[in-house]
Amino acid sequence: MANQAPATAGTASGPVVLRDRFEINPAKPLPDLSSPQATAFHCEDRRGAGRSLMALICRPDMPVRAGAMRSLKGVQAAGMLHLIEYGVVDWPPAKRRLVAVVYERPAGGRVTKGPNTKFDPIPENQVVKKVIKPLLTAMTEMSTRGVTHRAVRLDNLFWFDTTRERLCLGDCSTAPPGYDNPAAYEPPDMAQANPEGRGQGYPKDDLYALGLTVVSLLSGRDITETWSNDDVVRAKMAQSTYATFAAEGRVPLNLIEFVRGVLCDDPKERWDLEDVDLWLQGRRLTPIQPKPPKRAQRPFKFEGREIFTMPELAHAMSVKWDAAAAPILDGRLEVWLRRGLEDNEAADAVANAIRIAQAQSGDPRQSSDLTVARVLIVLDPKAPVRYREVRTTLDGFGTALACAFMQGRPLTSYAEMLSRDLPKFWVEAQGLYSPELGHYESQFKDLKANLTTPIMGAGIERCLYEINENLHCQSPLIEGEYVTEIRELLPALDRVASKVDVKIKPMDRHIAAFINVKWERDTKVQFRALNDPDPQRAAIGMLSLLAILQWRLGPPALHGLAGWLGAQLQPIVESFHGRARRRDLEREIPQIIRKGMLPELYNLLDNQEERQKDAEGFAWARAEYSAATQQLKALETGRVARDEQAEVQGRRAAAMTSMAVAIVSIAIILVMRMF
Amino acid sequence: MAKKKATLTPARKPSSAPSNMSLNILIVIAGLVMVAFFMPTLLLLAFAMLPSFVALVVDRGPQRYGGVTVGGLNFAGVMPYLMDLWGGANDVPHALTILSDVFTLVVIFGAAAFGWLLYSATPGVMAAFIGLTSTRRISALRSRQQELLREWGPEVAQQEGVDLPDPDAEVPAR
Repeated sequence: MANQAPATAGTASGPVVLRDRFEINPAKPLPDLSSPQATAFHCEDRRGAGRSLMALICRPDMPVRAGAMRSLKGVQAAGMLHLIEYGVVDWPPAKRRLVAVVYERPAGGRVTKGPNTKFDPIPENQVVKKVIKPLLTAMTEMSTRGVTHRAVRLDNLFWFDTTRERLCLGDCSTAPPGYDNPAAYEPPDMAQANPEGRGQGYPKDDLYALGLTVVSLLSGRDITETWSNDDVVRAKMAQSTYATFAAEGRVPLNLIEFVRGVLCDDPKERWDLEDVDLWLQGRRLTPIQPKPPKRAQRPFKFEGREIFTMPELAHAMSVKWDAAAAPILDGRLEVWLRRGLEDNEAADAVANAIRIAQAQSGDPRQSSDLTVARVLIVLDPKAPVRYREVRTTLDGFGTALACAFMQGRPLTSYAEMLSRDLPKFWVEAQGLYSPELGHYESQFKDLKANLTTPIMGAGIERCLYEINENLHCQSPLIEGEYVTEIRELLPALDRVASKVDVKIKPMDRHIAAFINVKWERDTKVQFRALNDPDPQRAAIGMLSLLAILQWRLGPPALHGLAGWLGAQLQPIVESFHGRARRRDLEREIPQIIRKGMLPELYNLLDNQEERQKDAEGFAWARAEYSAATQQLKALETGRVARDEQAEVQGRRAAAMTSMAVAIVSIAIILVMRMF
Repeated sequence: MAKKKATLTPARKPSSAPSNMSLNILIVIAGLVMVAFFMPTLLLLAFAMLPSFVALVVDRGPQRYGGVTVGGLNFAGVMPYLMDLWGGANDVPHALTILSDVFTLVVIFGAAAFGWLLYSATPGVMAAFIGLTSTRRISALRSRQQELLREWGPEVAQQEGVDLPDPDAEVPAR
């Protein structure tokens, strides 16, 4: 993978300061001390402790091991670089914020100067003193803190001092666990995973890498450098790691026991830290070599190769994924398992896996992929979960997903793995129960539930943050601000407010998922509103979510973000029917924006009393308008009726008038006659 | 039931026919009595109330307002002369004397003519009055609708199912 390396030295605009103490000079790179995924720069301590320091500036598109940084900060032990400080800094050459890790600079430099270079081999009588003891101390120290190194390899070893008396392990925190290790340095199951999907592993995995490192140090060259990843895996499966790399008299007699112990391919039988410690104290242990997998009487021909064991076949099929479906679906595999391997149990399991996979998906492509993935798990349950181009341990799934997100790679395979319950099937295939497997089962069940919830705040983005506790928010709006804590979110949005188009909402699927995962309060109401199809409700939901964060976490004023939100509030203002209320809001909103207080803005816009008054007034107005319309219609369409009415009433009035006149006249005449 | 109705209906017919007939007989007897005892009055009214009889015949309306209007004023015009007749020599020559006076006829028929005029003109006046009232009402309603549109926007008319009116435009006259 190409190193994007935005951390490379650029125009020097002065040193970058980490935590007001460490000055990192972008103009002074230290290429010899750089890690594959991080560039080293000269660093000075303002407090002038007199130490020679270096700072590793991490890549922006690679998840870092923030947990390991936190655990190892300040730990001083023989055999490991002293991690002094870490944090996020503004990095001018990349015009963004990046993670910087400050280490004490190893005085003796790197053991190997580069790939394919030879170095002075370490004499066999000094290996224990110079290599094994210090590195075991480092691994033990890390193990007590719950961290594995997972970057134990020849090119990550440094001479701690100029006299070259003691080796120490280089950085392990700037890349995912095992990411830069050649496949040879990884145990067979992890070697089959993609580099980003190897997982944290155990101290035994570090010891495995230490075993190969010792063999290389004895040889004066990297014994694995001519091997391709596929060749390594095939060789380890066909023979064993020890037979592949440590045979042929490469290991002196006094170290054979140690090397056989740590290079044991069966994780259960592999030596752990305690075993190595006992061995150093003089106790002799006899490493048990793992039983090789059952070998078939006749080979299975796949893509021109003759394969005799199930793990080898599973690996070959995972490499040639598209060709794997045909022999599985046409029954050749099942026949080979029954007749060639004489393993009816495996054949039944394969048949069952095919049947379930076929029933699980209606899409032919997905169905085929799911079938292959399930069959590979049956063939080699210890191997990583494999699904098309994704090969990952359950432990490394989160990091692999993070890498895919950060590097803009397709996520379909990851989503299908989750939605099709492949992790659950893998756990079931292990044939035993352990708390760790139980944890995976429940974790991936939760992830599936999140994935299948299509709302903002859930989906695959939420899976990403659920499974990567320390991952920074990947929203394109604030990715460059490197926000890892919920408390940093609003200040970051505030900072970017002046650089973005205000028509873009300050809320997207990543930010919503980040808040949902990191903010552990009940925000169901806000998220329900945020996902409302009505733009006004959605805008209220967005505002309320951000307002509640400011209310709880601060800072007290967010002028930039308030202004940005102000441009998004038109739907809310327009949700009020009364034009007078709208005018009031349009007058008051700028005043609150100037104060930078989102809760106040929210209270103004979601005032229930005002809203109810507005709704009631509008309902009355509507009824009145409707009544007026009906009256108008009646008045205008009733002209003929009105004329008829006038005719009738007019004639009646004439008759009455006439009768009245007659009666009055007669009465007058009668009165006049009488008197 | 139907049978019962059928049996009842022919039984009523003989009873109504004698009543109509007795009414007619009563009218004829009354007319004969009038001719016998009130001949001058009958003569005066028969001639002076001619416009009323014409109006009753001409007006085909159910309420016969034309006859009533003309008749009322016509009778008011006849009344002074009828009092003259009853107050003086209540005989046919006196009645004929009254009827032969041109001034008398002008008064009587003028009153009837005024009745006609009243009958003809009042509906028009009434229509004009009602029209004026409804125009003012329409104008008031439109003005209120305009006010509502300005205050609440075009959505206030939305339930009508027609295009939203422009709040700044006048409500069009229909």
